[in-house]
Amino acid sequence: MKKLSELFRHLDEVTATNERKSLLANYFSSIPSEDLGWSVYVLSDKRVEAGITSRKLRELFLEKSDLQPWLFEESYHHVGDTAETVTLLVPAPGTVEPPLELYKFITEQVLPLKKKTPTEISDFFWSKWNTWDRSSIFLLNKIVTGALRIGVSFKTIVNVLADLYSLPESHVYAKLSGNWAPDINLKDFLHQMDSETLDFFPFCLAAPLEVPLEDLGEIKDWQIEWKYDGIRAQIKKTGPEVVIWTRGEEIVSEQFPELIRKFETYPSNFVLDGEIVVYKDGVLPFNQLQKRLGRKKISSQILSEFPTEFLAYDALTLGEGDLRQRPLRERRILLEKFCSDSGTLISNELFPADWKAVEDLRKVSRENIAEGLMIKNKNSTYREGRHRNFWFKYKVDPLTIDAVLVYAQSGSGRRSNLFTDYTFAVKKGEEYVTFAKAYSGLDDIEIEELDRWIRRHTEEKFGPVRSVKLEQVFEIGFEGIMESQRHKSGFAVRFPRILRWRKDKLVKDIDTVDNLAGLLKSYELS
Amino acid sequence: MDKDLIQLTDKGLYCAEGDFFVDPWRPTPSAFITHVHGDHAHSGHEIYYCSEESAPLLKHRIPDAKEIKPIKYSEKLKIGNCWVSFHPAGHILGSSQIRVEYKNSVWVVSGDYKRTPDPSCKKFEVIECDTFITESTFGLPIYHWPDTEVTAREILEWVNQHEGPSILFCYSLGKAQRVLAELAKISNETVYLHGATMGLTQIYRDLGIKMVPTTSYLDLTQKDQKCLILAPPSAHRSPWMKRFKNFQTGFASGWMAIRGNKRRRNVEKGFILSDHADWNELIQTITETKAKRVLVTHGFSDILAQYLTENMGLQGETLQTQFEGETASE
Repeated sequence: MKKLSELFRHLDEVTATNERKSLLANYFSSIPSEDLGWSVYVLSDKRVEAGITSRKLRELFLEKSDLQPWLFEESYHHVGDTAETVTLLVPAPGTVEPPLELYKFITEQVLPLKKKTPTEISDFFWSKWNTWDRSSIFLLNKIVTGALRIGVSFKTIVNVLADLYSLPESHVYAKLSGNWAPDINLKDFLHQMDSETLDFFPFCLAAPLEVPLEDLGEIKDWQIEWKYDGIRAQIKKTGPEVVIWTRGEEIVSEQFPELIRKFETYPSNFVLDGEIVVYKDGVLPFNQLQKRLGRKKISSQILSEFPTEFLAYDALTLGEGDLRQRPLRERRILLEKFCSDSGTLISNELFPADWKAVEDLRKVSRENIAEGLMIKNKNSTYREGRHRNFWFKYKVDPLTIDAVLVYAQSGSGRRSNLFTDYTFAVKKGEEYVTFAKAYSGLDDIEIEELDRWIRRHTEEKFGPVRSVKLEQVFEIGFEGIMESQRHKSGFAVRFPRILRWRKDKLVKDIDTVDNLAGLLKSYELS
Repeated sequence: MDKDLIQLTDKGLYCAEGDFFVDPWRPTPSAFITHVHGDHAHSGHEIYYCSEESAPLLKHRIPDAKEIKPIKYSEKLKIGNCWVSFHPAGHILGSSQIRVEYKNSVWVVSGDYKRTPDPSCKKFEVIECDTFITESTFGLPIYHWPDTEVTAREILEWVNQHEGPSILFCYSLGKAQRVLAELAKISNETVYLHGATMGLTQIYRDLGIKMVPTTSYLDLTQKDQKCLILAPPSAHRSPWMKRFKNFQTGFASGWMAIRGNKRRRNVEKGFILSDHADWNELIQTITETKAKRVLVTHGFSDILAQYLTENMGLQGETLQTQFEGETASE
């Protein structure tokens, strides 16, 4: 555990990915084998289930400390993380170092907390908080509340372990993505080459098109499809088992029982890449899909109101054959045959005559419930990651609204003491009504400038939120709009972000709720 | 109720009985300057009153300042109907609290201050008063500064374990010279300076502050020479950095106490070193002044004011000035 604490500190001190990888590699090879499983578990931001939530940790702290809750709250808003806030507020830490072995500490002291009385739990934490040094206290607080967020991605961990044990990366990736218990011998587990593992492939990603279409050469070398706005996913069938794996690196099979049922009956194995969308005689906008996301239980009512389909756009394996190294034009022929034989929906290829026609198609994307076009080179293999020359996304311009900044709140993590979470409003008669929150779109210099302005022009404070003088106008871009009670305007927008700080505009120039209603109308008609 | 002796106007803090301003941010006929940082010492005033040690720094920062009147610490001046005096604030060289006395009432404007020992400036002096105007840059209980000597040793170790230049970002006025003065206790190695830090460091030397030897970064013969270089935070990721190879970067600031701040700046190493009072120093100082009324400016002013009112039985109020303290950006 002491080594993990050191790793933690060192990771914070390097910014280059390669250096971070070598720190991880050194750490993994220097710890006892029993610590490996727990280390990977903790580093992948998984919570050690001891029944201690952030809220609980805060209560444990406030119960016995002299600090008033409001002062804790204010501190928390500034730090942006409960575990770190408690660490910094512990009045008199000591210099005692934590025990050497992580697994022993977790299994013998942390996990049993679930069965302890409130007093015993409190005594456990305070005995550490009063004697350990701050960096060890921080690690303890982080381990029990989960989400270390040390800036090590799952991919990095996979990469380091694959390197360390000379295993294929996709294999380690698949193994670690599945369910495994942290107290196994992780090294042995990784070395088991069973065929039953969920061998998902890293997604092949498209880059935004940043050159004129003409620069791509002959149009006949390119496959053009709508870019639908759903959930990018791979569906994998192995024997009787069907699993859905998303671009967000989550297994979501349980959320789409209708798709599992549909694919379960296919005779052969496959891995398809495609988009999950709500589908009723055609693709429906993302806001329909959103209504069933994140639900634990998918009721029959949801299934009939928001039925989903999988639109296939690539075949990675069919039967036993791995097709990824074959060019797209060949994969497409095999995919079309597979889809027509099996009754799977396919993402249709569009056949514009020339680049001008591509431009015209892009302009009618919204009418086709798409967020633009995908332009893929027919000779491209299915590679891992984002590649600048083979797959492009050519998105429609966002919808835009000029709005005024009304509220600001400080961000968390990296931006914890700057005001970076903004709420914007449009005009409704003489009133200003909110319609969007945005967190991004300004560069660091603008953020600091705006932060300073906000501090000087705060009108009221509501906890961490400040209302500001109505003066700063921003152009807000977004991908979609829907009616919603979340904001006062009665509208909510999808993927809002700041396009520009319109210092040239005055508050009287901003858009109104009628402009939002107009956008919704044109968006829904489409 | 009597009118406040010092009031907030659109130009800054104003004392009507003496007809002068303290650290005003717009041009005024008569300005008393607590210290020479940009958010306290603005250009365009007719007369600047400041401590003797601030005077050369002020001249350097504002070369076209019309008239500068250096005042000895503790010397009482009769200004209008008031008695005004300067007292050390421990923030940077020359930094002062300004004490204003009128009839039976004593006000102290503290400017920026700290209580942690600092070999590059005079120690903070407690001045008893009725109304104390305090900063609150780090006015949250999460802030508690480590021992400066430990931090200085950490800086030295950080430099020694790296085979190449170590670039430490810190304010060019105050923080840089404090680092140089702390290092002088444990090292004799030459430290290289960015242009912005050179002139100010020379003024510190001329005023008798003992520091490690320094010279311009231009004197470096190799791009990857092992050494310590001090530069202002604005040099971070500027073309100036192209002069060095295989370098590591660090940042010395009170904000480094929070992980998120360090990550946001994207420097490799954060050293917790501030020229402002931490939470305990603020509370200690306010208690020692015996002030019944405390006006809290720049920083976490509303939080500190609420704490003073609810927990210490004082009259805590916030004062919306345009002072910035140690901005997270610098």
